[in-house]
Amino acid sequence: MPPPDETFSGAPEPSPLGDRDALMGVNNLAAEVGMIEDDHARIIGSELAAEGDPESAVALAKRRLGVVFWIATGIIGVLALLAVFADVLPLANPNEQPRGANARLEQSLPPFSYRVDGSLTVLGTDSLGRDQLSRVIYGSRVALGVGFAAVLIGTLIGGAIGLTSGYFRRGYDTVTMAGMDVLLAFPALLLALVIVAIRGKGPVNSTIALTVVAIPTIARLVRANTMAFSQREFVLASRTLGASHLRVITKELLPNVFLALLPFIPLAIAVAIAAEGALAYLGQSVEPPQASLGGMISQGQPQLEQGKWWVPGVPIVVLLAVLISLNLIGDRLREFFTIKDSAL
Amino acid sequence: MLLFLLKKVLQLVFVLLVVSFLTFLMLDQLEGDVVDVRCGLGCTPEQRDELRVEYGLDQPIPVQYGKWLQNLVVDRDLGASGVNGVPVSESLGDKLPVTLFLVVYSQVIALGIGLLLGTASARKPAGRIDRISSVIAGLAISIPNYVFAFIVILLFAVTFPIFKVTATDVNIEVLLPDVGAQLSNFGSNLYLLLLPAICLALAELAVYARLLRNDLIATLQEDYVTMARAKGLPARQIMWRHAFRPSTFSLATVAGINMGRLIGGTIIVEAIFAINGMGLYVVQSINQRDSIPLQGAVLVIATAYVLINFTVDLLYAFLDPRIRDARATA
Repeated sequence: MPPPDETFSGAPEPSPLGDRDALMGVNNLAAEVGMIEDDHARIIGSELAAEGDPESAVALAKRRLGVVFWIATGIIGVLALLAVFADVLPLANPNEQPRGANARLEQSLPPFSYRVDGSLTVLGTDSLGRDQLSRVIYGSRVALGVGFAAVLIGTLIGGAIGLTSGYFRRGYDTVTMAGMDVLLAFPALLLALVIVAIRGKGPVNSTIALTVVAIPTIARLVRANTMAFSQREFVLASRTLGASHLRVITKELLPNVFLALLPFIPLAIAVAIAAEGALAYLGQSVEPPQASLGGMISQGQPQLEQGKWWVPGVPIVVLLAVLISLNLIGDRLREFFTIKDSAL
Repeated sequence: MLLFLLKKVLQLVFVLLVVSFLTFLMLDQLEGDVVDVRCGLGCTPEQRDELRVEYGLDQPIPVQYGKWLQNLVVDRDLGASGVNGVPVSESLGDKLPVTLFLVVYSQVIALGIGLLLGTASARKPAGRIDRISSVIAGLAISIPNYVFAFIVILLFAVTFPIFKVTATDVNIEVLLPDVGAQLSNFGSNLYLLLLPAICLALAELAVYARLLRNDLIATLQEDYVTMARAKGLPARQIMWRHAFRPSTFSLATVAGINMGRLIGGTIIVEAIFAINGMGLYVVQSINQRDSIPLQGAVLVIATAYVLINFTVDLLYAFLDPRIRDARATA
């Protein structure tokens, strides 16, 4: 455990890891967020120390985002474009099953094989003979849409809660954080499942469920950062010059806190997408026959057990590409904004 | 210290009460209530009214909640399934040990491998082992456990059929007559749950490895370690006798908190491997729209989760002398 950061000295810290229990995104994936929060403390702490340092080669390298970052961004971008324009692309109907005598011959085809009528299926077919390429694209539409929307709304709501409670403190802070604690008392996937069970299946309700799950984590992260920045001289200066609370929050705190939150956002989206996949795997996302990545994976499980690994393999590869890309983007952003690596 | 403890306990009671009320309220909202489940299609309006009275659904919500809580606390009664009439507490008694076994099992795996990777990479930061293990950790954190499960199944249950695809046969028997039977029961459970436990452990072990690595690197830069080096102590002794213990505080805390998180994480792993635990019970209850078992299961999981987090928080305060003293002087 590194010694507590000095910039935090004014802010009461229940335990250095107090906020770690806030970090329980739906998948265990989110555990990583705990480390990010530590790093944020370091970013803030090391900012001053880094001033005046001569720009070394390492520091220069850090000023560039790098090839990996742009490849990862490209993957997400291409998938997002495909998902957005799925309706106008020349894709097979994702829900259409082959009929007639030959239907069985067209089931669970491996990628790059031909249907009976000679048409090519680029990514093969699923156990019902439906086109995997178009199902994967429509499934990504649900996954990306739900993931991005949930984190966007969650950041707006959670950010507002975190900023205000970190700035005003006192009773307001106690009440809002008690609310967050209650939300955090349920394991995230369980909470999302129950919300979907109550509200019914569908992309909108999945988004609502994952937003509720995301809010407390984001709120606590933003609050911790807000508290740290509130101690800084520029906030005091702004107050002394007669700025209103609203002005201090929007003009002084928001830009700083947002920058600290930014690397966390791609990771949060990855967590939300993995969680949507988990809901879909359990049959609690979109209604069949609509495609979702998790649903395709779960329907492919019997095929996997028969050795036809490509049936669940196609959605798995797409999902992994999305998740690993988002994680890489988040990691790179984090390094990019960390001026000095204090761990080494 | 006493004041701190009192505050913590009050906080705990508050959270538990709110959680229980929310659980009750949330599942009261579940579409298709017990009456629908019990009736199926054939019920006269009179029969429906009778059932509503039987379940107390005609009374106002606070009264219903009070009764529910009273039954729970006094009789440890959580009601019975509307589908098959099995008491919820009985089902939970069967399923909770399975889930706990799985959670502890995967925790042991995660800690074991995490410790190994963490210490190995801290020995030489940015060295070859460190870089390899950081890539492994990065991948392990990005891969959801349900995806990893498929890879594991394909490798070890389909291509090389060493393990079984489903672990339905898991059966935790504590009260077996002799030691031999207990051991063989334990062994077969270990075997059946190995793949699910590995899937569950994956993300955790990556977190543990990174955490321990970062803390160890920080500790190894302390003056007293330099001192030990200057004295000429062997690297192995410095690592294990001097640096290891002070570097494990955050690891211990996160491992504790993860116990709670793993209980939630078992939901999906149990569904994949068809393990008869709490998670599968939750999913089945949701699919059958059976609100009473769902209520019970959610309450038990959430309570366990809150209690574990509470214990870890307290333990942490006692374990780390820096925090203990800070609180004592404050």
